[in-house]
Amino acid sequence: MTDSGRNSTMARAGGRTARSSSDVCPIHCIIPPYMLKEIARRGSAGQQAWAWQTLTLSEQMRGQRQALSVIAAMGTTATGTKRRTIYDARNGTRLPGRMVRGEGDPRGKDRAVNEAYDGSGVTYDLYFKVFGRNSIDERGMRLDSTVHYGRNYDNAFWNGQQMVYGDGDGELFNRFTIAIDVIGHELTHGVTEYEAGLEYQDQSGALNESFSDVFGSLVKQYKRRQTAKEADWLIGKGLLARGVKGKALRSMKEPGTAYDDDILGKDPQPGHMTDYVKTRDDNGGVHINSGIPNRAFYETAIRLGGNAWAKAGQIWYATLRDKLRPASSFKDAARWTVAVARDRYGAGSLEQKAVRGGWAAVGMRV
Amino acid sequence: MKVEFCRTGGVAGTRLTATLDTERLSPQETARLRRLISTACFFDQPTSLKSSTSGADRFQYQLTVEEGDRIKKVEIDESCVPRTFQPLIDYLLDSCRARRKKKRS
Repeated sequence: MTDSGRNSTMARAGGRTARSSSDVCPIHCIIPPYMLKEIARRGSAGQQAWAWQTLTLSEQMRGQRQALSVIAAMGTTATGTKRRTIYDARNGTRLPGRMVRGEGDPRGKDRAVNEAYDGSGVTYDLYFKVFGRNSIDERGMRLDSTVHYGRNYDNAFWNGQQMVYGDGDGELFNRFTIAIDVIGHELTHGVTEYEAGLEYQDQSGALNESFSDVFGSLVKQYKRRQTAKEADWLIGKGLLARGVKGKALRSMKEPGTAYDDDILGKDPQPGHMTDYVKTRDDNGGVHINSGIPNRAFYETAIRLGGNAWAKAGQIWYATLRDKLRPASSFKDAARWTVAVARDRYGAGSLEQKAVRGGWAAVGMRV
Repeated sequence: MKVEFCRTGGVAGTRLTATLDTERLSPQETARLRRLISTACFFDQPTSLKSSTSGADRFQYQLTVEEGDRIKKVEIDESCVPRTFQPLIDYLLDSCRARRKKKRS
């Protein structure tokens, strides 16, 4: 791996909209932008990181992407260039683990390593070729993944800097790299963090989860070159171990039908606002209530026809990137996706009607 | 002593639970459980250990321990589990899996 630590530090800490004041040293708020730019250009790795972060956190800069373009040029990789690194945690929990595959390295025998490498590559390609986005931070951020995390670890997660995948317990779950939409799901949490910053709680958290399922599903559909009609709209198909009564983790088409198993229980997802689940579990049910906006996307994509990434995906991406805020609700998402469709395709257009219809199907009229 | 354990969250969004009652455990298991609770300084922990850092799809744990007239509930995010607490979490997760295996067979 030849990547510079400077760039990776800057790429991870900089360009990210603040989620907490503890991320930004308060003293730096009085430093003028011209001085911050010099520090971002010539400082140490740590200095570049907070200078970049302070610049992009400025409310004045938010939305002014042109103003940031000069700064963005610093530490940006050539667009279209992937920088994937796969690590092996060897069933421990220290991250990132031992590096086992770098960008351009040949395939080895470890399936999880190869799946993480390939899956993050397809995810990068979807974002770059379809949405014009250069990696998670729009500046070519490294895509780091750790596999074989923990012991019988039945999960995958985004830790704010990288993707992490367990091997599953072999009884209920297979290895978590087996499903490419799960890989796309985790990477999209990074994108959301850099864009709308949807708070991981209640409705904003369920939206956060939904965007990850939406773009995770689009990664799978894109790889298979499927239309919305051809797609199965299942998240994590292949992840459930043999013997488990279920198809996948979730169904975007029919929330609540993905599994019904003696041990796993029944898929708890609602597909309509009337069935919204109020719970303290799971940060207010972020993986539960995501069924509602998931289905809204499915209904929109089916109404539009063709490849789901072409129009529905573009509308949802633009909404995530330009419109939503950390505390956005389902209502906000519905209103903004309809507005984006209007702006892109015209008031009263088939596209706008499809988005309205998608949300109406889940009980959200806008 | 009764221990109630619940894990929620994770990318799969599933719920894992276990209830242990020392009246139904062997003396060795009871001793082990008491040792883990003691090592975790369970009754001295804050009631909530929530992560303030970014990230997604981590687990959340809820533990309730009841002994005599003492009862305490602790909610912890996976990324905030203290090192001394982790063995207790691991033991409870193994209990969940053992219970599941029994149910399957």
